Amino acid sequence: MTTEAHLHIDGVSHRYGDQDALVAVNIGVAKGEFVTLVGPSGCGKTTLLRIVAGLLSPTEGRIVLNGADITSVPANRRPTNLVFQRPTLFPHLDVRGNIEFGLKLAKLAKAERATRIQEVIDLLHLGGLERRRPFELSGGQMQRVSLARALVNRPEVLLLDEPLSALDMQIRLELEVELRRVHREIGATFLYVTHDQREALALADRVVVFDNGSVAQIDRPEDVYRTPASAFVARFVGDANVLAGEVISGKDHGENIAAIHGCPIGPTRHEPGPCSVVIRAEAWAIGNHGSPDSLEGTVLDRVFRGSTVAYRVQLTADGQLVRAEAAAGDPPRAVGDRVGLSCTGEFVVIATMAETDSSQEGTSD
Amino acid sequence: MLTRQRRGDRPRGGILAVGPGAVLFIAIFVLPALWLLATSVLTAERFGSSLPLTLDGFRDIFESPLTWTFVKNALYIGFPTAAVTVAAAIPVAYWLRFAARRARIPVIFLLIATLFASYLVRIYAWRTLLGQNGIINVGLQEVGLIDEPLGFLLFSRFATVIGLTHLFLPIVVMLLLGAFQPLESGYLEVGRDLGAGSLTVWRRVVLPILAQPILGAFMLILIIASSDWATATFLGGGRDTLIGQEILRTFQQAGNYPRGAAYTILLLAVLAASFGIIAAGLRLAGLNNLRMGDAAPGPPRPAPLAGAWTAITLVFLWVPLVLVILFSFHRTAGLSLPFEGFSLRWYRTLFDDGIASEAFFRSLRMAALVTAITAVVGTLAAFGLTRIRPLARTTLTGAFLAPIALPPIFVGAALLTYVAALGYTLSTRTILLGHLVMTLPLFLLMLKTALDRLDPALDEVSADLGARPFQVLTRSTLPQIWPTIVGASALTFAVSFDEFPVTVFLSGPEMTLPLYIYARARKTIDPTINAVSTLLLGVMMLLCVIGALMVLAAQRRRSDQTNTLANPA
Repeated sequence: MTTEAHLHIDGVSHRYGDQDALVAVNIGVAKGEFVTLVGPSGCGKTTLLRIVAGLLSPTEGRIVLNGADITSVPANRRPTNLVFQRPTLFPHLDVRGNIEFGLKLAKLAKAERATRIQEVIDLLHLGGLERRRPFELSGGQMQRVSLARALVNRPEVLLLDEPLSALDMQIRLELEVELRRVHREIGATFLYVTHDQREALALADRVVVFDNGSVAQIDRPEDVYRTPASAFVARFVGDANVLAGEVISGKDHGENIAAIHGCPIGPTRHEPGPCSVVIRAEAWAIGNHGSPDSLEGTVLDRVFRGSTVAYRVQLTADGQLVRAEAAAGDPPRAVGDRVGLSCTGEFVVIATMAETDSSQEGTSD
Repeated sequence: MLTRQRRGDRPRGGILAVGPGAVLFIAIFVLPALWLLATSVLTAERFGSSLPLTLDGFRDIFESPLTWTFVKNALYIGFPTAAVTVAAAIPVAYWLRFAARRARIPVIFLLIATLFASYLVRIYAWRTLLGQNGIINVGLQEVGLIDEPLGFLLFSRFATVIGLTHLFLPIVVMLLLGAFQPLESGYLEVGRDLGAGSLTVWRRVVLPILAQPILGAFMLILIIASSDWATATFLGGGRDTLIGQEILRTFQQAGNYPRGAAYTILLLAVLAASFGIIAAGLRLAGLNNLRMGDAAPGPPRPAPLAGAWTAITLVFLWVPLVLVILFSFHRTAGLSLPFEGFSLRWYRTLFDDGIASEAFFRSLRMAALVTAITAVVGTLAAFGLTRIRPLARTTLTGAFLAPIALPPIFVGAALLTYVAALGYTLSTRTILLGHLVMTLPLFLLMLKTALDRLDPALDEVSADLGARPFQVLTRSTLPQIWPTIVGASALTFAVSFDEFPVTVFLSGPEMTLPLYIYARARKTIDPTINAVSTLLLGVMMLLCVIGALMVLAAQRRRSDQTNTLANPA
């Protein structure tokens, strides 16, 4: 990472007892950037957020903000604010009192406080709720107040720890849209933790994928989705098929070919040898059994999803399960049908020794 | 790369906050307790002790045939009291938990309010009720049920047990109510759903869950009742000497501290042994011998029986107190029916009595001072305890709360030997120390419970929003728990204002109000005592109302919260 980064997480490691929560994490965040940290539960992303907030000291490494090392600056003197997963409002204060909390501690004049409060109340559409007590608010409103309470201090970096995960899907989608709008309007740096890859891709300028305490990939959402750096990322983001295959040297055109069980998938620049091939469900075409250059398999399961139909197909050659999606208008296949799969869309080849099976993190949540 | 090794990320300052409380507590409880143990093996001097070490104190009490009579007399009071109190409290707690609905808060208030009625007043009340010419005997004769007054009513073990049950019943109900909280009615339904009859539900589901709390409540009452002696002197007629009384006599009249210390240790040993035997017995019996099923109605039809029992309990608790108040306005000196008209003469007599009003104001001042010290030191300590390392927290909390599980007589005796060894004369100052030992643990316990309920994330939110550790306290924590602090302070004031069993060990020439009542009620019985009792009751009730309003305010806030969460707008 470059040293000009606005926020620089520099070689941060953290251990709880003898367990590694974070291993030498390096992340540079530009000013005004919206970065999401995503990974399965327990991968260390919340730990990292708490370290940036100053609520936890890293075992090793530094946090650098605007070129200054703030690792030993306590939370109350950092220009960062954290929005917690659960709405945690002060029960003894009303909405306005909650928002004003940080401003009073910063000893701002009354007029200045009023202006700033009005700003965030407008920004987050909290007008009319100022005198409500926390227990008189809905979950979504509470989380909006938490957000206002953090933003009113004009933090250089706003830290968000799965702020939407406790909310209903509908409110969640609404708040996602608002978060992006708020980010555009105030231009602060956002560091956002989530275990939901959909949310991570939807919100961010850049996505950091965590695997077991280390960074697996940092990239723009499109790139993380289209060119995952490892089988783990491919599986975690977008739930891609990661299949064992091989790269065959191309004799005719000098271009090597990636293949699965001898069935060619497409050209690749990788050297010949064993590899993993990442193919998303929507990149498959489901043809009849026996079509040329197709992988043979049997339909195990079929789920109608409106515009598409999702199939699970077991490959005849080695029993691997493949998820494939077909348009709702395509000829329907029944459970038990024998089909031929061919890759008609994008695929990614990851040249690996044994990675295909070594990183099998759960992607269920 | 920088390497950093920090121990925990807990807010600092915990030690600093616990410090004053810990030092005070060591000075007025831990050291005195140790000194009492040491005193038991020192050589007796008049009102003191000295080297060389000797076992004379223990030899004296073990050689005296009376010792076992004292112990036996105390246990004859303690066991029935504990059994009756716990058995009577279970249906009430059960009713409050599962059937009370809207009556719950008022009934709890009525129960707790009697707790705030003075200890001595409540004992005294039974004396006027149970006496030869007491209201019960006169009433029964009027109705024609009996010809002669029932002699066994007053000056008997029966009277003592009744008086002590009256004292402890509300406490046990509240303790058991706390234990009932985790007992979801869902459990009962699941039990029934799985085919258990109502008695089986009680035996297999309710009692195993409640066995620990019931045993705890039983032991607490056994400890306090067995070492109580004032009730026995008022209501038992003073024929049987209890060990508590003998301990006080040994210290105060005989001035033999080593022997007094030995007696105190013997009392503790007997209570500890009782606990061990009961606990082992329960385990052997697999809880099946705990026959509370009779007293406690089964879940299917809880309301009528348990409700009626609760009503009887409230009458039992309130009638004596109402009568004390009523007769304080009596026109004549009589303390029994028929009631012959109202007058304020007994209050006038009281205020003309310089000693009485002096004692009254001395007690007020004492209670105010005790409350101030307890509130400051206790609040700091309670906060501090949340901010120190777990091992230190557990150890210190245990030490702080220990006096609650010890007989008050132990606290009194320990402080007496200690201040004597330090060469202090007994005065209001030594009483103050005794009161602090009694109030600090209670205060700390109440505050700790409230602090444990706070959302720890709010500490981090405050820090994140720019609050220094001290500001976290003043801006977030304190504003959230101040109702508890006020309520606990009211309780502290009440405990100090009413304290008798420890005070009696530590008092010099100046009397507190309870000491005055005790001295006066032993000599004469006339409505002056009722008047002073009514005043005492008035002060305590006022505090009770303040405390209750505070707790209610806090509770309403919390219950509103749950309601809104359940149906968001």
